[in-house]
Amino acid sequence: MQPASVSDQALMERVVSRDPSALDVLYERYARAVYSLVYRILGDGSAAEDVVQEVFLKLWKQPESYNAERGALGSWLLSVAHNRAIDQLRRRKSREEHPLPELRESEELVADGALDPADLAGLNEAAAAIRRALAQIPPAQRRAIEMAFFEGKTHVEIAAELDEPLGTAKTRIRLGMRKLRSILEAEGVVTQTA
Amino acid sequence: MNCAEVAELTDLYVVDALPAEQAEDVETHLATCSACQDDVDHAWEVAKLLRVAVPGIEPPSSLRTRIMHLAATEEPTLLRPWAVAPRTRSRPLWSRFPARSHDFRWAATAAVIPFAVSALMGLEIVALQREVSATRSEVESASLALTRSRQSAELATEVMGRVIVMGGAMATVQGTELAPTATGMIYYVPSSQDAILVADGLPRLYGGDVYQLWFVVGEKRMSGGTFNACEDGRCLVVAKAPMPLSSVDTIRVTTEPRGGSDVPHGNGYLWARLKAT
Ligand SMILES: [Zn+2]
Repeated sequence: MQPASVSDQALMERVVSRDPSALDVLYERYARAVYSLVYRILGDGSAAEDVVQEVFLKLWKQPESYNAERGALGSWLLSVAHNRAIDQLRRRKSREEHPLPELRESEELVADGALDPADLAGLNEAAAAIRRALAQIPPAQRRAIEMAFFEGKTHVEIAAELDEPLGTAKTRIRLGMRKLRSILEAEGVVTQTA
Repeated sequence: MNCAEVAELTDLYVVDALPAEQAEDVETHLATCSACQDDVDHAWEVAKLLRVAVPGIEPPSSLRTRIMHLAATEEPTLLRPWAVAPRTRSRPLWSRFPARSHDFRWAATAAVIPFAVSALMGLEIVALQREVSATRSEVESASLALTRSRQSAELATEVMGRVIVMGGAMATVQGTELAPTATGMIYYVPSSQDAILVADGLPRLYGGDVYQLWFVVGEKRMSGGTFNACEDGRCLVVAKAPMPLSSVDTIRVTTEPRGGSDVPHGNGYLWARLKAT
């Protein structure tokens, strides 16, 4: 594991002063996580590359769009990338020009070759914790959460796709999220509910 | 929706599983209920972690090369001209311009920040700027050579640098019948407030009149400051709009008495449409 060197904040200050080497360091730090997330959503390498490119060039051209008070840089990059990827997925779906990516087994979430925690300064322990937590919830709940979060589907669409009553997908998502939360709370990864 | 109904949907909301209409209902409630917002923030902590729970895949190394190349060079495609109105000599736009000045909602916040940059010339900068590879120091030396003061040159350089580096836009400037030979360009970054006007062929003004630049948004006209053209009819002006230029419809230049006017009274000489219609 690399020694933690320059902080994200210091790098962002250099980005603001137009130092491309700072962008390169940030790319090295976060590109794998961003690419992996977008690839999971779009299931297509070249489309994923486009989103990653867009996200990092946005950081370069509009560094002011990131506000450090609203969270860590890694989370922000992932959030921007997630939104862009889901947008694309929905546009693709609505145009129906392209077939949807193959649905994948939920086991992928806990599969080997998951993100190296060292990719994510500040999120590393959490990344391991969320994978452990996901392994502990029922696969059907995990699947419903994934279909919403990574495949851009509403609970109504999930119920239709799985041919289940309307309330079932809803319940699975709620139960799954609550179980995840309680595991993560117990591990001290997320804050306790009052 | 009340708190209990929102609580039922919080987890679905954070994983984006709600149909748009339902999500909007939740958001409407959240806007006024900090207790429910706290619950959502809490649920968000879990959802955000899901983003790093995907299988790790190495992006191709060519992606890094491409991104760094684009960042370093800022490809010329980033400089795209906005749709420009066709050059026409019938000029209904301008004739609609003045008159109802009492209608202009003239906010104090739209205060004028004039930067009358007297200039010897800027068309060379245009040429430089078209070669997007121009470095900051190249633009700086060109600006310095072309303007009378170091301060003006620095200002122009700073704005032009941003236009080049951040991916700017440009719009063609056209002359009215009072300035039929006038041509020019406006350079700006849509998300920022600074614009550079470079124009050629402006008539010399007499009797103490000055040119005044206006940012037009709908019915509002906001001054961008006054300036004088050089003896050769050229000008380079850096003007600051009171809002991001992405919301400005057109830029106009009128003649006004020395010191400028609160609202445009004089004749129009130049105009440029920033927004595509
Ligand atoms: Zn409430």
